[in-house]
Amino acid sequence: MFDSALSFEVLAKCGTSKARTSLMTLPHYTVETPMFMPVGTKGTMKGLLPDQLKTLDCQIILGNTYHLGLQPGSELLEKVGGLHNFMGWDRALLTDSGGFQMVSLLKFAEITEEGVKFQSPNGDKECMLTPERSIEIQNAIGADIIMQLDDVVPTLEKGQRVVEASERTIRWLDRCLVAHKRPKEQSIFPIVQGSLIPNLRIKNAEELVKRNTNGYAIGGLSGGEAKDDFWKIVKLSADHLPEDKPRYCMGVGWAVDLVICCALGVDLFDCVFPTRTARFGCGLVKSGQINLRQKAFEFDMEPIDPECDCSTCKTYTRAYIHSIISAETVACHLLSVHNLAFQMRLMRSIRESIKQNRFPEFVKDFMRINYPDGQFPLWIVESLSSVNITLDR
Amino acid sequence: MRFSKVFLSESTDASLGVISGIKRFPSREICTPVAFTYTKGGSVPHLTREVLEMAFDASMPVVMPAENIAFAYEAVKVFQNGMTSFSGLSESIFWCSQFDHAVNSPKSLNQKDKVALWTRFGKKLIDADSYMDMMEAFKPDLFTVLSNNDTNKTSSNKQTRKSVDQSISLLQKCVERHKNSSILKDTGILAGIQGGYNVHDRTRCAETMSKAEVDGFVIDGLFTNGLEVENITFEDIEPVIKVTMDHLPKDKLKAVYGAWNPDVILKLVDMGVDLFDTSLAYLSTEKGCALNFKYPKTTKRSSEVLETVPTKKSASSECNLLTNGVATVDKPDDDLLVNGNWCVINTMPGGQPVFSDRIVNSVSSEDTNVQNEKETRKDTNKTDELNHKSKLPKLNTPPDPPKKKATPAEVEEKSAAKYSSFEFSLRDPSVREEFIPLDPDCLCLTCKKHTRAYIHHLLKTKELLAPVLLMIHNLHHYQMFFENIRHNVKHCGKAFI
Repeated sequence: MFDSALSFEVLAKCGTSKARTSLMTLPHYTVETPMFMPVGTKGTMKGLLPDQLKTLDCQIILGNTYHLGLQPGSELLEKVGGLHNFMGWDRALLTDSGGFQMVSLLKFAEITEEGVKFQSPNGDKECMLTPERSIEIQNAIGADIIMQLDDVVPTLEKGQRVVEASERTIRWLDRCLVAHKRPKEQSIFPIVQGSLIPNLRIKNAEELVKRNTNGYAIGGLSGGEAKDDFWKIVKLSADHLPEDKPRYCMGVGWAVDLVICCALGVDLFDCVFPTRTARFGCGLVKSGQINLRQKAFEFDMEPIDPECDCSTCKTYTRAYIHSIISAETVACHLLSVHNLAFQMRLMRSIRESIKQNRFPEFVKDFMRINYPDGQFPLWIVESLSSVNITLDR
Repeated sequence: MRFSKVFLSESTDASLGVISGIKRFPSREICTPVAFTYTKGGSVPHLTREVLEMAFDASMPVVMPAENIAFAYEAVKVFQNGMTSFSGLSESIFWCSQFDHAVNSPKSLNQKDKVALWTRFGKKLIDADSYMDMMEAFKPDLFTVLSNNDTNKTSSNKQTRKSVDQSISLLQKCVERHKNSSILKDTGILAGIQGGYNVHDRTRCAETMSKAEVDGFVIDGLFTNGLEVENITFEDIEPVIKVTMDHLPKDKLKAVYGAWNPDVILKLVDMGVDLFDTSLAYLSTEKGCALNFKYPKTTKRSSEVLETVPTKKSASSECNLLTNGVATVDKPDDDLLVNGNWCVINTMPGGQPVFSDRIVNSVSSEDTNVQNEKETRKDTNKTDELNHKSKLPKLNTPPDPPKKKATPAEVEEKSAAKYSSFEFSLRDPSVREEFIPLDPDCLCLTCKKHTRAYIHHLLKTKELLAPVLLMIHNLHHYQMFFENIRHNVKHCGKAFI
């Protein structure tokens, strides 16, 4: 059906910064980028129906290999013909490698050259996630984009362990590529690692690019590093990845970070933030977020955001959501819908502004709304200035 | 609010009626028997307005228990447009009931002229005036007056007497407020008939309340734990329901709350009850279950129409079972019965009663015992069915003593007809790899798009989508149940077939 599991067509480039808007054609859907990918960890988007996600204009969503591998398990997913069929989602999917969860969720994970050794959460059994096994599970899940197993180290880790992880990530990529059984239907994205060390990042990116895959990810960030380090590593990594392939920055979901990373030339993002903050009772608004648990909203008959056109804001007041927030699951669904609408609208505005060649103006307006006093954090000023967008203080 | 009966069965007390004259929706009419959609905190449990629109007609009539929306009273007062607008269901006809009949309400704490409501924030003692203040803020289209329903099967005579005394006194106060309230004067009002399982107190309560200026009655005080209603048998409640119905005006609305076994619902319909709620669909969802009892439309009479979908068979074998199932007559209907559970009808053809079998408002003389007819229904075959059909209009058998000792044959038949199982659990490991809909014949959004295996996975991982999908199916299933009840009452003169 497809010559390749992914084709990438740049539609327009920003004349000033590195931002671009493109079409990424995948077996299940053609995704407009820059795009935010909501995280549906266990084959569902936190209580929302697939049709609701479509109404929200979600085009690609993420599933987690670690969780899906445990339940329902790869055998069942293979039987039912993959996660698309299982969950009733006919647009694009991306799965991670499972490595990140091993290290972040499990206490006793041990990383060796062979793979990640961990205690099964259901018993005392010792399990091993190798690059081959990760790809085998991801082949069964059948997502349009799958991720290589990478050697994840905490972002703030220093020294020899970081070098080892960066080099091992390349060796594991080669094993993943060999193990991959469905290259016509699924694209493996390698992951640029190398902590906050510029030379290591560059060397790592150059090695990955040699493998000539359909797209690339920037990993090992959003782990508590300073914003000043964050943007520099994103820029450095993006600069060393090919122009004609999609770039995916993992774990980024805050509005300000999304705008900056788009300016630096990143195309894809994922984060649990919008749906997780919804479960904590927070609604996203242009100036940040509001916590609807607060007593202040008891008699507030406005929608979460009067300018929002989502189904939540069209029907419900802050007062009603406040009144049911800890009692009814409906409150959580309403906030998830609103927060995803917020993310999708932001990405749409970014794409439109690039097409209309007014992305720099969009960025300036956006920052002015987020920082009405004009006191922009230095990292924002510097990162934007590195791509020729100047914020007026 | 108006209520009129448009069809009375000759063989049972079952009837079809129309609720109309609702001030907010002057052209809308609801066909009874009907189940109003049970809500919690002002929403259909787990379903947002958006999902309701995707899966149903979002203008379905709803019942909101004052007990589970009391927390919103102050905000709704400020909001000024009533509870349904506040909770995103502004197009729904809104019945405000008193207690949450889908939870366990620990009561026994009522005072002389106050009744305890168990709200989300604890016990709230309210008197008739504060209850009516709430009604004025919530602005229902129909409400149940405050009463003391703190009785169940184990209640003493003293308790049932007290509940009746207090409820009669509360009713007088509420009716007075209703008459003088500019906000509520067009709102329908239902009295709560109390008296627990005490026939004497039931009689006293029904006799007194039948004279009140109300639009109908809720036969209440049958349980205090809404979670266990499905286990109460018809035989338990029959004597008090019968004595209550006998003392109430035939032409007014009768309601019964609660998640009864479908069997009991059918028998209540045949005793003349018009109004129910969908709390069974909700409670089944909370257990991780899908309703799967079969109650098809029929013009035939068979004791075998009651089947459940086997959970362990493959899709194809189930389909066969269902299509070969006896007495499934699914011919399309052209009247208001097919328009879903709440039947929006805007015109009545030629001003004639929609159902012409019998002209309304004549006093029903027959108290036909439903059980009694079952003997003749055994071993149904085609010929028998046809015979029955032709005999149907003549059925006018004199009432038999209701508590006749059952013969072994009758006992066997009773258990065959009974919904001993009306749901199946999606937590059961046996559905892990069942890539088929909850019910292969069901047309709900869940069954059209999702499988048992997926819902099993969602339950296992405690994902919020599991109750969403189950609620959609269960609500749809329950609505179809009532659509078919209306059909069968019209065509067979009764619901329990």
